[in-house]
Amino acid sequence: MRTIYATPLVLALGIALGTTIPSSAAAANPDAESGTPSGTSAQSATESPEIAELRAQIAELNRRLEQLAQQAAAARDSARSDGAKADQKARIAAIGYEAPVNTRSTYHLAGYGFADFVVPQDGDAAFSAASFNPIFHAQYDEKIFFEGELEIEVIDGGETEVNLEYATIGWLFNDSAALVAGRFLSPLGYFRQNLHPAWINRFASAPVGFDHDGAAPSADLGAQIRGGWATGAIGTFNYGAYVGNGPELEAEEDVLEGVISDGSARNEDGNLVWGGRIGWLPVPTLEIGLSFADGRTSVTEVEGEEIAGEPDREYRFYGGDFAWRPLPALELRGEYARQSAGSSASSLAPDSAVWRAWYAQAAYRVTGTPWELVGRYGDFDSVNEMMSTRQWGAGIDYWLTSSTVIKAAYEFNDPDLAESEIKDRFLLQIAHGF
Amino acid sequence: MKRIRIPAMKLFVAGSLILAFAAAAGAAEADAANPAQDPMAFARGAKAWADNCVRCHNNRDPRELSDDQWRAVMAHMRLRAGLTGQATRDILEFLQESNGNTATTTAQPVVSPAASVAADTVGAATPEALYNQTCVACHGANGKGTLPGVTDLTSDQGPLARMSDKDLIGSILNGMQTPGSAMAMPAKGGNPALSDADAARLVRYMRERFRGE
Repeated sequence: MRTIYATPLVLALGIALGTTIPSSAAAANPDAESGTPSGTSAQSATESPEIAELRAQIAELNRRLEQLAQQAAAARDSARSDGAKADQKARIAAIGYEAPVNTRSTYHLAGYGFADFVVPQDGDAAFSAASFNPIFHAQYDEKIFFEGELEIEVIDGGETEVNLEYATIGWLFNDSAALVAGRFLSPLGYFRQNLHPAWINRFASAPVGFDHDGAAPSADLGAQIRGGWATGAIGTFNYGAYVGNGPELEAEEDVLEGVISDGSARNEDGNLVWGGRIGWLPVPTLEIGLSFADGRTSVTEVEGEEIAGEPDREYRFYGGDFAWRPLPALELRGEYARQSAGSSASSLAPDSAVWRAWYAQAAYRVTGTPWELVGRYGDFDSVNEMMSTRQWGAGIDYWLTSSTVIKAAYEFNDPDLAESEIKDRFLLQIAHGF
Repeated sequence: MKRIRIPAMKLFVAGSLILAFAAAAGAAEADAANPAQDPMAFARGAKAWADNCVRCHNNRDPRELSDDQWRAVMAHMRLRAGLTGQATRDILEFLQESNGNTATTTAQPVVSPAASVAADTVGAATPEALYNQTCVACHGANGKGTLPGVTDLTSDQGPLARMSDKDLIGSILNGMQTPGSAMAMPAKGGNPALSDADAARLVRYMRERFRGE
């Protein structure tokens, strides 16, 4: 690199020396060497030979300087090109392969996986779960984006269960909004749509009421508009507003038991559910979110058997969430979710029902170490009292990489009913996001 | 299947109208700010990256993915995190400029051709401007770090107290992995225009600002 700049310096020095030694040829015929138009000859005739010689030298200097400038520009361009190539080679060496670039389409496989080991208070220790969740991304230009996630997990008996977690086509039509259609994670609340992957969730389990069949909807099939905008003065906002088929209800005998919100491809009650969430970040370290949904739903499952013809009834969801990082190493967050189904006198399960849950969590990353301490409290009130519980949890995480973590945690459960199957338990989990 | 009732249909029609309006507005602003032509995109992207990723998860090392992979991931993150299009493009610019080769041990100064060529453009900036452009997103205005795992530049146990100028310059130019940190500092702080002279000026500036030396 330095030799590139040394070359012009040597040339400049040569020119400087050259100008101090009058060329005999130039002295003999300055016009011929300088390329001066013949019209100046008459002017030269009136000048002394010394002035004519100086004019010739100046012309020569100008010519050589122009050559130098061209050479320097070429050298700089060449160096920049070499530098860019060197950077690209280094990048390829770091990544391991040369990725295709400058194509209109981009494909990428992301996802996560985890494995659990559980020791219940009154039960047998077991490796209780293994899951592989590949997420496929396909982007066309900067406007069209498809993504889909499969949830492939081991279930009791060693069989493998495959579920479509979500599959959406997004049209990113301007800087503040995108249309997303398909089966999507519910835009209501925060945990279900953003924090549930094992490599993101700081605790080894989901908060009570925020797992499947809890108080927070999991997914829906429909269309939504998502996006964000920055106001500058009062912070930034993000939002998701949707219309979907909505949840369905399951009953046990004549009592509502749970909400099925995995994103059904049917709409038995004939009513769409609409709703959304708006999040506000007055400062980058604080986010406050509010969620709401309204619509109608109906019972589609009684004691595990599908039924049809049930009357529709009111469905409503309220939610609130916050996340605050008062220190870089400390994260506080919490969420409240409440969903309800109204009464319907002609239904097999006529009474209304409410599912309500909240949790608060603190996570502290010990500075300069891969260790993180986590504490959580949660409460879930379900119309199915066997599911209702309060839960304390304490855990410690060891981060192998920024997306690989080993978690150890203990849950202290206080169920509403003594005969509940929810017991204290110790959990170990390893999770990796990619 | 029952007929969809009117309120939902009204909502859907209203949503469609909003969508059509937004699409029309969006067409006018499409490609309004191309990071490749915006010298501040990198600095904005570094800050947006530091502010937004950690809302849900640890900041991922830019070197984990190639330019094209980050392009797809950022489209995913735009939808998931509710980022604006501009913030998405800025973060992508930062990640693509920061995923070059990075040494993982204490590195010696290595001067790349690109760094020397860039010296004439970046070298004119003040050390404070350089810090605010390249370093502040992770190290913070007070030097204590804005992300978990980022070393405290003010600490007696921090790199400014323990390392020589030569090693610090090498770490800035070639990147480094702090033990216990989930991610590495990218080479040149992710700013490819940073020269070896800039790195030396940054070291002097940080020593004066954060250690009073």
